[in-house]
Amino acid sequence: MGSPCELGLYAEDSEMARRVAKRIIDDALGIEARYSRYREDSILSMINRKAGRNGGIEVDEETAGLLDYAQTCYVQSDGLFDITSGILRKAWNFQSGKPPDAALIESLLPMIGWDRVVWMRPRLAFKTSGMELDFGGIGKEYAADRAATLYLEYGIRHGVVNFGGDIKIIGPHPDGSPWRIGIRHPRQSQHVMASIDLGQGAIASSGDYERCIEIDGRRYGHILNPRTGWPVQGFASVSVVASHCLIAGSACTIAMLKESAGTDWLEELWLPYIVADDKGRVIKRHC
Amino acid sequence: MNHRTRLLRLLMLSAWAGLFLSSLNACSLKVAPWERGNLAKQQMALDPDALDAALSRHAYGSKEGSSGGYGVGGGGCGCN
Amino acid sequence: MAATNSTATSSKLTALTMAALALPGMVAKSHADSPPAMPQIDTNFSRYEESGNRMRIETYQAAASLAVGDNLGFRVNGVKDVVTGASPVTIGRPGPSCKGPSNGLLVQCMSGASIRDERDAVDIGANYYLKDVTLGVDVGRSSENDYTSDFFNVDTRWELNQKMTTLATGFGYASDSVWAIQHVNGQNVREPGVGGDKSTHQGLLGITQVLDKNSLIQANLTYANNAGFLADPYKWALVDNVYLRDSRPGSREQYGVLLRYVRNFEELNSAALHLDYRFYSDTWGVDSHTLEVSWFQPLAYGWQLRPRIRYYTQTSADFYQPIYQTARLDGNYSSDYRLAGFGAIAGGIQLNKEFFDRLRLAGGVDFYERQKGLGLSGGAGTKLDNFSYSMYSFSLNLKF
Repeated sequence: MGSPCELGLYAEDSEMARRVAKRIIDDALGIEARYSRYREDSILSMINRKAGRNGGIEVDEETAGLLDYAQTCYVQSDGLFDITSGILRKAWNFQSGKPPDAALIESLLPMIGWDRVVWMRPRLAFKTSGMELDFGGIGKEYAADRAATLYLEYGIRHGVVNFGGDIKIIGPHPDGSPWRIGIRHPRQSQHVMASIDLGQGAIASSGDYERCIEIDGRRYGHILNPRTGWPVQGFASVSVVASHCLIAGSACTIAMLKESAGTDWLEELWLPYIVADDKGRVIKRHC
Repeated sequence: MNHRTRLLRLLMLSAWAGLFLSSLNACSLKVAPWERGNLAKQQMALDPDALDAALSRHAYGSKEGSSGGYGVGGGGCGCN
Repeated sequence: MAATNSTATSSKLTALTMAALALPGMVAKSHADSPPAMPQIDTNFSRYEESGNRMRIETYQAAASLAVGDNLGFRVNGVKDVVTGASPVTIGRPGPSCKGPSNGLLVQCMSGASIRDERDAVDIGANYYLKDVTLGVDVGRSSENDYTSDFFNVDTRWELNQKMTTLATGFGYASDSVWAIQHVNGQNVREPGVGGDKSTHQGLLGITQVLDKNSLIQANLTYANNAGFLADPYKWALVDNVYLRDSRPGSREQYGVLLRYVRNFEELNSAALHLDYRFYSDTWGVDSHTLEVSWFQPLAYGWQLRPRIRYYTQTSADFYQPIYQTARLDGNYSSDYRLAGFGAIAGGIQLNKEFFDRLRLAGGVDFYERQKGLGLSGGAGTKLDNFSYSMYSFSLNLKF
C-alpha cells in the first residue's frame, strides 16, 4: 500500500490475534494486487490497457462497486473527485522537487474527465484513448473498512485499524473508553494539532503535507484539480469522521478539492470535521 | 363479565395495538442498515438472556393462572 | 458523533454511504438473519425456594447450538428439575386431616413433605435461514413420574420493509398425560382412575417494528386451546363439608396480548430499557395484567448489571372458591391457589461479565411475593394462599 499500516485489537490470545492479523493482511494484499497501478497483472492495469479499445471491457462485481463509488464521488463533488486524473502524475513529480512542464499538463487535460468514460455496469469504455484510471483515493480506505469487517466476523469487538492514517474503529477499549486519535499538525510533523475520542466509526485525514513541492516559495500539495491540472490551494489539512473509512477519506479529498468552498461542502454532509487553513487556524465542527 | 365482552375487549386491545404500530410505521424515519449498531447490541435484543428469561417465565407460569404472550411451545408440566 | 446522532440526513452522505455499502466486505453478517457464527454452549443452574418450607426446586439447564453451513442452525436443549417439599392440596376446615397455615376458620391443607419428583425435558430445534425469512422447528419431550408432555412447534420470521419490520407466526402442539402418584409402603404407586390426557394447540402472530435507531417495539397475539383433563390430580376442594377432587371444564381457550418496548440510552453507556405489558384472558374467567420493567446497564470491563421489577394481578376463575358452601350445577370445583384472585410483586437483579467476547458468567437473585391484597382485579381468594419465593441462578455461556 506504500504506507505504514497498524492493527490494534483485543483478542483472547496471541494465536487468535495472529490468525486475524494474517487474514487481514492477506485481504489487504489481495486488494493491492487487484488495484495497484504498479502491477502489470492487476485488474486496474488491464482496464487501462483495454478500456480504450472498441467496446471497452467487462469488469467483475467488486470493480463495478468501486467504479459506482467513484462515480458517486464525482457527482457529489460536482466533478472534482475524478479517478481519471491520476494521469497527471506524468507531469508532477513530487519527489524530484522540480516544477512541472506547463505544456505537458495542458496536453494531459483532454485525457481527463469521468464524462469521457462510458460506464454501463458491467461494461466500461474510455471515449478518448490514452485515458487511465487510478483508485488512489479509494483502495486503501476500502481495505481498512474490509479489515474492520473481518475483525467483527472473527468475533473481535474491541480494536482499531490504521492504514496510513485512515483509521477505522471496531469498538471501544474493553472498559468502554474510546480510542484517542491524534491529528498531526500540518506544518510541525511531530506535533498534534487536535485530538478526538472515537468509540466507533472512522476518521481519515488529507493534507498538503503528505507529498508536496515548493515552487517560487509557493507550496503545492499532491491533490490536483482535474480541470486545471494544478494542485489545489485550499486547506493545509482536513480530517473527517464518518461511519466508514471510505466515506471519511473521500470526504477529506473532496473538501481539499473544493478549496475555499470545502467547509460549506462538509457542512452539507452533517459529519464531524477538523480543518486547518494555511495560516494554521483550526476549525472544529460537530465533534 | 361474560366471555363475549371479554373477547370483545381483547379484540379492541389488539386492534388498538395494531393501529398504534402502523401509525408509528407510517411516520417514522427509515433507519438505514448502518445506523443499526445500537439495535444490534446484545442488551437491545428482545430477550438478551434467553435461558434466564425462559426460567423466570416458567416459574411465573407455574404459580399463576396465565401463560402465553411471549411465544408458542415448551412442554407442559405437572407443577404443583 | 454527528455521523450517527443527527436525525436529518444529508442526501450527499446517503449517496456516498449507499455506494460504499454496496461494496463486498463492508458490512459484517448480522446475527438477526444468519445462524450463530460460532458453536455455543449455554448452561444454567438455579435454586428455587418457597416460603414456609414448602417447595424447593433445583434446575439444571444446558443448551448447545451449532451452525451447519450459512443457512442452517441446530440447537439442543436439556432441563432437569429436582423437586422436593410440600405443596398446598386444598383449603379446608381445621381438623386432624388438614394441617397447615390457618386463620382459625379455614386452613391451608398441605401435602406431606415427602414429595420428590424429577422432571427431565429435552428438545431439539433447527432453524433454516433464507434471505428474508427464517423457518424454525422444535420437537421435544418432558417427563416426570406423574406427567409426560410431547410437543412440537414451528415458527416463521419474515423481515420486510428493509428489515425495519419483522412479522412472526408460530404454531405449537402438545400432547400431555397426567396422573397421580401415591406413596404406599415406601413405593410409588399410580393412583387408579385419576388423571387423563390433554392436548394443547397454540398460535402466535407477532410484529416487531424498528422505531428509530435507538428503539423498537413488539406486539404479540397468542391463542391457546386446551382440551381434555385440565384439572390437578393432587388437589381437592371442600364442598358442603365434603372433600371432592379438583375438577375443571374440559376445555380452556387462552388469549394473550403482549406489548414490548426496548430503548437504548447511548448517553448512559448504551444502557437498555425493556418494558413489557401483557394482557391475558381465558374462557375460565381468569383475566390478568402483567407489567415488567428491566434495565440493562453495561459497566466497564464487560460487566453488566440488570435490575428488574414485575407486577402481576389476576381475577379468579369463574368456578374457583376457597371453599364451597353448596354444590355447583356444572360440577366444577377448584381451590387451586393459581386460579384465585391475587396480585404479585417480583424483583431481581443479575450481574454478569463477559470475557473476550467468548465467555459470559452471570449470577442473579429474584424474589416473588404473592398476596391476596396485592390484586387489583378482584375475585375470590384467600390470604392463606399468600406465599413468596426466592430464586438464585448462575449461568455460563461459552462461544467457541
